[in-house]
Amino acid sequence: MTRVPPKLLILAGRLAAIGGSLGIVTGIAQATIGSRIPEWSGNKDQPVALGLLTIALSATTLAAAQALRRSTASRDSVMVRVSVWLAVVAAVCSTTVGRLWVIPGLLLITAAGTTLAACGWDQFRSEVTSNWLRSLLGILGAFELLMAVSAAPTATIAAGLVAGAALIAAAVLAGPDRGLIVSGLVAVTLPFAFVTWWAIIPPLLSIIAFAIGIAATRVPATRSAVPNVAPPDLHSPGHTQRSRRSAPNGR
Amino acid sequence: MTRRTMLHHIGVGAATVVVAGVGAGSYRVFDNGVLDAGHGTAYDPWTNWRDDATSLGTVAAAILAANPHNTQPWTFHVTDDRVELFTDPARRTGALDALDREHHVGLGCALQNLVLAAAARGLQPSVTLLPDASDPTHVATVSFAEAPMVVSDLHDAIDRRHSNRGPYTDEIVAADVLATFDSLVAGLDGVGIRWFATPAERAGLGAMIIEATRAIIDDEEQSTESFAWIRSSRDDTDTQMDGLTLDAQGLSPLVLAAAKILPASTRSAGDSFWLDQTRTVHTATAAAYGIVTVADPDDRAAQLDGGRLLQRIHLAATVAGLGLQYMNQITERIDRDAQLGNPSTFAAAMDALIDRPGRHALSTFRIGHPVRAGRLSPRRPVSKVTR
Ligand SMILES: Cc1cc2nc3c(=O)[nH]c(=O)nc-3n(C[C@H](O)[C@H](O)[C@H](O)COP(=O)(O)O)c2cc1C
Repeated sequence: MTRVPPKLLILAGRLAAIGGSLGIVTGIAQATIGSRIPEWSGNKDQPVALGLLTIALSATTLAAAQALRRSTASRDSVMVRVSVWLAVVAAVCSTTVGRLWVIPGLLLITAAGTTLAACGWDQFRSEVTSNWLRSLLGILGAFELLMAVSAAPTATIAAGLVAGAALIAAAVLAGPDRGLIVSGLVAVTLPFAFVTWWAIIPPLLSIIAFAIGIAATRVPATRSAVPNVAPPDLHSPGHTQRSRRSAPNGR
Repeated sequence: MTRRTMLHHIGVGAATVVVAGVGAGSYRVFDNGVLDAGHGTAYDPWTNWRDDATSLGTVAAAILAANPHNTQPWTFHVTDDRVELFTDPARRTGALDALDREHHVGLGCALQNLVLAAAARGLQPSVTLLPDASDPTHVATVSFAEAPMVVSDLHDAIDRRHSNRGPYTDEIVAADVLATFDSLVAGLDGVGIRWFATPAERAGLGAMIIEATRAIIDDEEQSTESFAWIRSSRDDTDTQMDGLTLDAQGLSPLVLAAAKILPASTRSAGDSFWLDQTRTVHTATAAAYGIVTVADPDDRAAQLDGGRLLQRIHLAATVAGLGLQYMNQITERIDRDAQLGNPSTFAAAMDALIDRPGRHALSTFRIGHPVRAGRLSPRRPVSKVTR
């Protein structure tokens, strides 16, 4: 049965939508006039590439906002992921468009926090602990994105962005039955590792991602630590949703 | 807890620690610009120096010259028919260059690039050194007259010339190549080159350079002054656009990345590294040394002309595919001893090595076939050095 999302989630969805829209505007500004306003745009070497990245990441937060508006009690895990994703985008884009990101960044962080408040700390903890290896894989993806945005030339940036996105996708997909897909996605990190071999960290990150990717696809997620409770009253704002027993790996 | 669960927890814990370590490393890669060395506003002057065809464009070439500790100790006043070159006294290196010798040699280097760029723009340059006796900061005026363009090899090498502090191969630099450098003194008053190319000559000068390096490290004021110009973070390079960067130290790519990822070194660690590099790389792999000699190393005009000669040699070496690194520890000690009233041990020893009556060392460099290319150093843009 589809439930009406609690007010907190509606608020989070609105914040994410405004933050994401403003984020797209800052991305367009970076890509078009970024080099002319260095004190605002962070004085970046590759304003066009970084502007496009900001637009792409901000667009994903619009999709996240949509997911929040449509959320149901059975999709707590989605909300936790949305919350984490909003925070990741807020963090990554704080390195791509300089001071222009202050307002969208604050909005997205607030949206992430509000989503978390709506899901409840226990739910968050339970989701994260039961999907710890996948979370690590996603975190590695965020680190990869961070390195990519500081690279040059544009081809290296592109390789890094693809690698980071692939790791995050692998984190989302990892599961006992998804070994091949996950390995394939992790393999996408190799070009970036190859062209930056001398920088030590990117190749190291690839190796570790492989190891964690394999482990994450072998080890079924442990069950949520949160006990089953009766469905909460989703209409009461601020009510902490408790998890149902989640499927392995939260899917 | 079963053994299996415990092992699982240990594995997950270890993975978390490793990922945290990679996170710290990734942040350093991001923050210290490991993946985009030589890119950014601080390096733009190396690519846009030909863009301006007017007299202002000559300054864009001048700022790419070698200069002590990358202090870029210059200011330019530009009009259509002349450029006036001034020192920037705020950019002196204190005890390290106690008598401002290198400061003026560096200005001479800039002057040489300016002259080459003028000729390449169809502006016949005419140089007057120290044109205003009442203003010692006004070191030169270059007046322009219209003339056919003269684009020389040296001019075209301006953006390829970099100090190369890495190892050189054991290939010797042929005597006839060194001889062609001798002819570069044309038109410069009272400057000459003394080469040290035989193994015995190299060993003698190399040992003295190492000794002088130790003396600088032991002199806290000199060491501190030198450290003040080291830029170990990308932020410092981006904001200050000057100084000595890790990129310019001639390290292998792997060692360079590790140096950037690890925390910045302290002054004493930096000093030990410098001494070690001087011993095991700079002097150990020098194919030859050159010393620019003058009659009076304290004479400002001789310093400016000596700088012009050095820049010509460095550009010619670049054209010939050779690496070059200035190594001025001995003269830095000579001037420091003079400033402090110490016995002039280094001055006497250097004169004995040069062994040319009436000639004294102005500036020293090593030359050779480099193992790897030199990297770009940051520069302040023309807009920041013109008035
Ligand atoms: C007068 C003078 C003295 C210098 N002394 C040294 C030196 O003792 N050791 C060294 O490694 N580089 C020395 N340099 C090189 C500068 O550090 C270098 O030119 C500067 O950092 C800019 O880098 P670039 O030459 O690669 O453009 C000297 C340069 C000049 C002009």
